[in-house]
Amino acid sequence: MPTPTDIFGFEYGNLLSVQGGGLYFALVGTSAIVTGTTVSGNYALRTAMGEFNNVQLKIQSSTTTFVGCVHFRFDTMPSGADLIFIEIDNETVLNCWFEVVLATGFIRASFAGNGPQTTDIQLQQNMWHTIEWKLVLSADPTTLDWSYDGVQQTQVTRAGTGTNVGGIKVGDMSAAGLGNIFWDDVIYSITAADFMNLGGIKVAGLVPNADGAHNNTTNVLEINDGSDINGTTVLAYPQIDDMPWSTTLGDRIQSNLAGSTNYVEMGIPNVSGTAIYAVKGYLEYSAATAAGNDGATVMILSGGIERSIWGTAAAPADMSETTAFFKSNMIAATGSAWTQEMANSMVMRIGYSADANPDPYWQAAMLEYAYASGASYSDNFTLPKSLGITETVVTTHNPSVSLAKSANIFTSVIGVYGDSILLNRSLAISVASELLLDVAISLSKINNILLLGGLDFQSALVLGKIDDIFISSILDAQNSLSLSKQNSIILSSVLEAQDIFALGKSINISLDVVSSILASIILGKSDGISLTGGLSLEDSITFIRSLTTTLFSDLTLSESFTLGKSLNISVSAIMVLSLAMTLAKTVDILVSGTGNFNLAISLARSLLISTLAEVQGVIEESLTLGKSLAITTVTILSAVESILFSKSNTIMLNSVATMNANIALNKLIALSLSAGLLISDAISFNQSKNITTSTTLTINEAFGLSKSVGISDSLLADLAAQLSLGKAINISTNVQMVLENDLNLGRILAIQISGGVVYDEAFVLAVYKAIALSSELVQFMGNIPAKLVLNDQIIWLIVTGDRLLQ
Amino acid sequence: MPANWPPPSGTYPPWPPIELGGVWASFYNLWALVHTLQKLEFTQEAPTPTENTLFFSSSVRCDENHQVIGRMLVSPDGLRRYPFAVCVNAQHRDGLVLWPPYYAGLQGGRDTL
Repeated sequence: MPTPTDIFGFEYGNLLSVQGGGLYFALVGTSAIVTGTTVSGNYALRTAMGEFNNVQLKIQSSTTTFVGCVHFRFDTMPSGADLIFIEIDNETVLNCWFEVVLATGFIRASFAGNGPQTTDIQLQQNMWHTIEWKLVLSADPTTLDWSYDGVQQTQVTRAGTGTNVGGIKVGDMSAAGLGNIFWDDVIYSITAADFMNLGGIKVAGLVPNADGAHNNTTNVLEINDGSDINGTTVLAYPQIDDMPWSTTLGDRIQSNLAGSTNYVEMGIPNVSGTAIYAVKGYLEYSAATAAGNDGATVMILSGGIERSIWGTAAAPADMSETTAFFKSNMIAATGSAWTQEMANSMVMRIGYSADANPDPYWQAAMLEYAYASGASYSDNFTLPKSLGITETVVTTHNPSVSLAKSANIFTSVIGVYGDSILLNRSLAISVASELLLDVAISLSKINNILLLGGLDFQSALVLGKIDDIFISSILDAQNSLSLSKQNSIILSSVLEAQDIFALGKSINISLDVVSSILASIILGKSDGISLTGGLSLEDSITFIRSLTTTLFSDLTLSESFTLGKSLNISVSAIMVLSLAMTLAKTVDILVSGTGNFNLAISLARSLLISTLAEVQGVIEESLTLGKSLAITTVTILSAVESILFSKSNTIMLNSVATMNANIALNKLIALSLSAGLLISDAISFNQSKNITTSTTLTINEAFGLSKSVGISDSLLADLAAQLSLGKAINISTNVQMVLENDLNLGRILAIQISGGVVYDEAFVLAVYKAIALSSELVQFMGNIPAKLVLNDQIIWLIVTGDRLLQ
Repeated sequence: MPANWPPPSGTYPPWPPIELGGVWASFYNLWALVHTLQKLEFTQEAPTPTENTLFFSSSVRCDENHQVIGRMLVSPDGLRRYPFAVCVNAQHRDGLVLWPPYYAGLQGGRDTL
């Protein structure tokens, strides 16, 4: 059981003064004690950043082993410079510093900057954090063990030994940044074993609330108007139950005459919590004048055991101050440890003045106590270290839940959280049925989340570092989901993201059935995305780095689809892209069913695109392949809009290919069409070695081949428009070649036509090096004059009867 | 309240020292004061005869009317010297300081001067 040596809950409600040393060793700058932002109790300390605003808390023990715990919360992230915000003053070795590293937001511990060790967790704004430490000065080197939010960090060491700890200073020791730091429940101990066992202890206040059995007599213990306190018509406790306290002197209990055995007794409210670790008494006092006097403020425990706050019945203490002075003292238990019953039975006594000239004044008195909360869900609760939470029935948590360290959370039925959940470090969350989260959930580090039922996010879900998320049923994120580091997400049922779905680093995402993502999805790094059902994206999806994306069913993209680096995209059924699809680097895109692209597709580097069924009619907008080695469609390739292949080695169409718009192939090794090729608009092949059409080649518009090795048409070539071949080695038609417009052949080695050839217009051949024209061609010329250019000489060819004239 | 304390303004540098960034500073006793300011490289010295006359005459008394002895706290650059005092009564040992209410109370001057 932890044994706190001193506790600081700031439950007196106001930043008072150093006078008397009962509250602070030093106050530097401007600080305040505030309500509303606390770990426990009603008040917390607030120090402003940007100046040397800090508070050095009172230390009652001189020790070489100094264990402690501080809860703090930044409402603004530090700025401007690294910020020292906790300092443990030891008198021989350099002071211990805890600071926020500006560049990273990490927490760094050191001996005044020497031998620093740093967390790998960022400070979170507007979230309570906990630092626990154990400073051992007795051995060389001096060691500082420390933890951040319940996780032990690397030890800091410093050569030398020390003999004393001077204090704990909290606040801004660097005069940097803006905003405020809140502090609550500062606890320290001189017991080494208390290290990392103080973080879960809370501190609350108790103010006297009833009069007890007084031992008073006339003109001894009075209120400030001189009335004797009698416990019936003149009560003692209202005179000292001030809340918040003030340095302004007000109502009081006074000892008008000395009465070393006289006292007034006051009751204390019962404590909360099942485990009580420490009790501390506070006193604000003054006197009528500065001349020496005395009095005592004590607690009486069960069995009549007396514990001093200031003075004792046998040895009252000086109270001769004309301004408000403050004292505090830890109240030791009667046995080895406090019990709830013991705490609830104690009373406060004031009086025992042996020298009441001048009158001693008791201005205010109260207690703070350290406790652990029980397993009650009736109000907000915090479990700083919890190894197991098991709920076998329906559990509703309406207030906030904070688990600083939780090894397992298991709900076998339904867990409903109506308010925020904060899990700083949780190793496993297991929900057998349904987990409904209405508001924000923040999981800093989680190794496994296992949801056998479903997970329904109606608000933001933030998972800082998670190894695995397994959801066997529905994942319904109606609000943003952000996973910064994620190894695996497995969904055996439905994934529905109705809002932003962002995965900073995710190794694997597996979906067994249909997934509907209504909002944008961003995957920073994803090794594998496997969707057994289907994927319907109604908003944009971006995969910065994705190694494998496999879709066993439909892939429907209603919005833009961007893959920064993707090695494989496999769609075993239908792939429909309604909007732009951009693949910066893609090695394989395999679509087993239909590929329907309603909008532009841009592939900067694509090695293989295969659609085993068809690429349906339906490239309705431009298709651009920066580098594409192979495009294969087993059935139909239909392009309504332009297709541009800047570098493409092979395009294979086993069925009909219809291109209603521009098609431009800058470098094309082979264009093979098993069925036919119908080009309704211009087609341009800048460099092409082979173009083969097994059936019909119909070109209704201009057809330009700047460099072509071979054009082979085994059936019919019907050119309704101009055919321009810059350099063509071979043009071969086995049946018929019909040219209804100009035929321009810049350089031709061979034209072979086994069937008939009909030219309705002029036929121009410009040959600069070598020609090999079959006699059939030359003799065919018929009634059309042909201009043959040999080197720089123009030769006109006209057939007259059976002779060829030049 | 102490008698004839603090010294008249202008006879000593304004409190708090500029080394604290101009913010308010108070300490529960002289030990805490010196300990904190030593971290900022302040030093302490015996007062000069002139300072003794100026700050620590026999008319200076703590709130319980004890006589005091003086000590000077010197800034790191040696340019500013701040007077502090502690009463001679061993049981009281009040410390006289430069921030309201200008005294540290019982044992407020312990272990320092």
